[in-house]
Amino acid sequence: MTKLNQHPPRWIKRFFEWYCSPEIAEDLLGDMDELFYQNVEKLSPTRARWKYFFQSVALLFSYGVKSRKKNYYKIPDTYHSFAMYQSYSKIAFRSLAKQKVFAVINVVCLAVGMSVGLMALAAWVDVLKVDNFHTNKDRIYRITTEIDDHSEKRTFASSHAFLGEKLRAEGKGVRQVTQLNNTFTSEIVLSPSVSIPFKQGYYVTPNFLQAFDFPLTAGDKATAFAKPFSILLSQETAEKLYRDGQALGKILEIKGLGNFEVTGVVANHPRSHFYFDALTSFSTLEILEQQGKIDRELLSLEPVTSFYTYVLLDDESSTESLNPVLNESASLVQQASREKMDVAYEIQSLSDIPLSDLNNEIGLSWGYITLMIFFFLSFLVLLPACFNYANISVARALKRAKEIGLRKVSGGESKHIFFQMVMETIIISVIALGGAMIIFYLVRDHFLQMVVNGHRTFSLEITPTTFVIFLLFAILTGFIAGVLPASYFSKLNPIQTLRNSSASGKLSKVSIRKGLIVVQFALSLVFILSVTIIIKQYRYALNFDHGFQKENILDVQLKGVSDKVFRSEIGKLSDVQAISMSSSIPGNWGASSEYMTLANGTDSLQVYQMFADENYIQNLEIKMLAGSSFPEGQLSEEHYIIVNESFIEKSKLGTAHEALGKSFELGKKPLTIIGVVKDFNFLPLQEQIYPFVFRYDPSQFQYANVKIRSNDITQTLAGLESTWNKLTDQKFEAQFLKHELDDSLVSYRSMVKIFGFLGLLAITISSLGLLAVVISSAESRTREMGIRKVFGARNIDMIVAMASGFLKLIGIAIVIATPLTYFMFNNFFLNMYFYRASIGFLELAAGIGFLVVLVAIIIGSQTFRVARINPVETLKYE
Amino acid sequence: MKGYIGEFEELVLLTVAVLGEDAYGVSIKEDIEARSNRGISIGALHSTIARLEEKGFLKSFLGGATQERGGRRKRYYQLTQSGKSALHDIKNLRDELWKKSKANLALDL
Repeated sequence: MTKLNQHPPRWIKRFFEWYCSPEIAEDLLGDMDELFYQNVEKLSPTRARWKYFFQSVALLFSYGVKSRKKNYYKIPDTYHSFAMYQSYSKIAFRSLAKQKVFAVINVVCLAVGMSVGLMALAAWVDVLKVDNFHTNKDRIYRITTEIDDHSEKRTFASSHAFLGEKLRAEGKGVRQVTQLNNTFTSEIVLSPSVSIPFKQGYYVTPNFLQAFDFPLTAGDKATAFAKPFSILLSQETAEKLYRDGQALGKILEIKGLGNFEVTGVVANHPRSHFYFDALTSFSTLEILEQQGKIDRELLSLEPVTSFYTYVLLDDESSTESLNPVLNESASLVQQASREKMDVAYEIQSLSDIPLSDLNNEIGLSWGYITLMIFFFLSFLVLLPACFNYANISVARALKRAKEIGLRKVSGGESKHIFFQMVMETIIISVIALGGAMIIFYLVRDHFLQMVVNGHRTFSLEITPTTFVIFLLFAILTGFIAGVLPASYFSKLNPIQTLRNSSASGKLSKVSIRKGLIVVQFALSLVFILSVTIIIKQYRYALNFDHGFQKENILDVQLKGVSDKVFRSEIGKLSDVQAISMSSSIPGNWGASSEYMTLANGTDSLQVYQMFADENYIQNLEIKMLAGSSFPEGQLSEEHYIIVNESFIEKSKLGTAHEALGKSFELGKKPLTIIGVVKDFNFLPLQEQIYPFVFRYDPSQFQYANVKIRSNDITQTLAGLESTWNKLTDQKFEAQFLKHELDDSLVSYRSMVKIFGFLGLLAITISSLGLLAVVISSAESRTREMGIRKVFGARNIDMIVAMASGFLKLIGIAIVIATPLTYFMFNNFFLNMYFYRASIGFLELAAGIGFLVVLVAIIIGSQTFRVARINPVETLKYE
Repeated sequence: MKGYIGEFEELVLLTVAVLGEDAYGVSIKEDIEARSNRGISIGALHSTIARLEEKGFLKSFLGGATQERGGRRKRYYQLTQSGKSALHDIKNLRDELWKKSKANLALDL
């Protein structure tokens, strides 16, 4: 009788039903089943199955099935008519309205989950749009250089100058070759004492503006580069130089290079991977090289140069036609190289540039990896939101089961139910898109400020294109979130749902749901703990005792004003207590370093140095251990240095007092130690305290450190500025030392923002998810609680009974997340800082406490509500 | 005479007639196999049935749900009027031929 347990292979049935319509297949499958069960009685199950398989194949290829399929008239599927769509959406809105709490939870969760995704998508669209405005963008290629020195293979965005000539002469199908060199970087001299640096300029071949469509507001593209020493300015630079922006025809002196005539102004343009403040011609480059004013690079065959080559191809030609010339040129470079390396030129299309991650990149590039991390992060936030939706829907299945049973009885098929449910989810996610876009708008500016070059790389504007992409994203999200509940609903058995309302409440996959809660809360806790740890480090750095006075010291940029003049004029002001001079600002990266020979004449020691005057140490209240500061009114010749403790320790000079009077050679000058100061943090907190010397050289002074005591800072500053304006026509630029040091902590603030934001999103999603699960669990246990109450249970007992399961899950999350975060920060992040706050019990406890309180509120509110209900009412319920 | 009837087709039609109200795929197959002592493929049988239906010699209807076939219904077949007359035609033709060839068909004993 065991043979009764044998069944024909299911996959054949499935395939058969898929191949024919079920209506056609029914009696045929029935026939085959009957034969199979007969065969099982006579033969072995395996043979019966083989027979079944051969029969099905014979039938599938038979004329019988073919003719049945041909004559079968399929009833048009009314489920996909407009009226049905209307009905679906109507029902979707009705069921949303019926369960308002859950609707709000779902919409908020999905909105929060999608917001980061929107950011990533908008960034992606922005990257795609880079260099989109050139007419010939599809036919422009860049030649890159791949260098394999047998230990590492690297691709450089740059190539060689000679390649331009070569391609122009021998390249097939080449319409234009344009090259540029990105070393045109200097200062525009406005007056002997004032010069404005321009960050980035290019030397370009004259056809640069023909190949790339940068619009000009002034000047003529054709003649702009006709003469050497012509310069084109970006609109931004032109407006900076001339208030009316009328730069055309003006003569500019570029420091170290000569006089240039402005022949055009490049208009503000859409984003490009090029970024320049000024353009000048290759002919200028040639002359400058001949004059020896810049390094010779035009004929260079060094593997890496500052030249970039772009090729504009004819309509029909393909990049392959360039290969012979490129291979030949590459071998030239390879022969010229002294080291053993393989050199090859590669061709990169213009549209690939923004996302490529090459060495020696010319301007902005974002890199695939960054984008991928961004997408991964958004996925990390979106996925829990989708799970939440599935979780909630399945948990609420009871409420919909009857409707679905009825639908099925009146002819709805599984696929129709599936479609309806997915459509419902999509409607919800499209509603959530609205919320996600609000979050997107709120966060956008913060995001742009945090990303390096954010405003230059991204606009993150919502254009019609991005909106369509957002919409597709929302639909996709809806689909992903809806697939699981939809397939659950479509499989519901109508008999069970209609007979007994609780039969469908099997709520399978409970362990997955528990796991999900754990993962969500662990993730949230990682973010919370990160924020508390970073805030502690931030406050530690903020209140760190650098060993010098930070308060009330105003650092004024001297900008060429003589220190003597400054001292005598500014010193007259009543609020100014003291003035000292220095070459850099302590606690920043400003200190320079030099090697000095030690007394024994062989060892050398790396020392950091800073130039300061005799008042500096007293002014900044740096503690003197021995000796004195520089003597007042020192000669112009440099004689003395003041060193720190580390210096004495490293150079083994004994005690501070013993070190006084010892001489060293530094910068080819014999210098004598006149004083010793206590160690102070002249570098940022990432670095430890190294050997350090104060030197005296008024020509090196960049800053005046003005100690101010004042009740009205604004007025004092105004007074300072008006005095300053009498001294020079330069702009008055000053900042308090304290602010300057605080500003260097900006990366902490960005990190707090990023982690805080992601944490907020994660917490929102997981809390709402938990809330929904707790609500439905409490609801389904209302009756149980009523009975318990009747038997004399106290409120507190019932709350414990309901909450303990959830609390256990949160406990597991805490146990996972805490060591993980601790490890992550202790071994990676905080390792970057020499001076750092240790991760204490307090921060961890604060983070965990926050989470526990949050969870307690969520669970407590719901369980308390259920526990309080009068059992008379609860037992009437259902 | 409309429509040519092959040997196997004739066999199927006659078996449907023999089985009466219980003529469906498996029963037809088993009956033919038992009587003619030859195995027939279910694919071939359903192809033939489909052709006979197209010629209008057979008609079919679905029966009620059954327990032993996973609840699947059976498709029952019945002879149509033209099916019957086609069988009669072929029988008449054969009878005539038999009558005329009786002398020559005597089996040598």
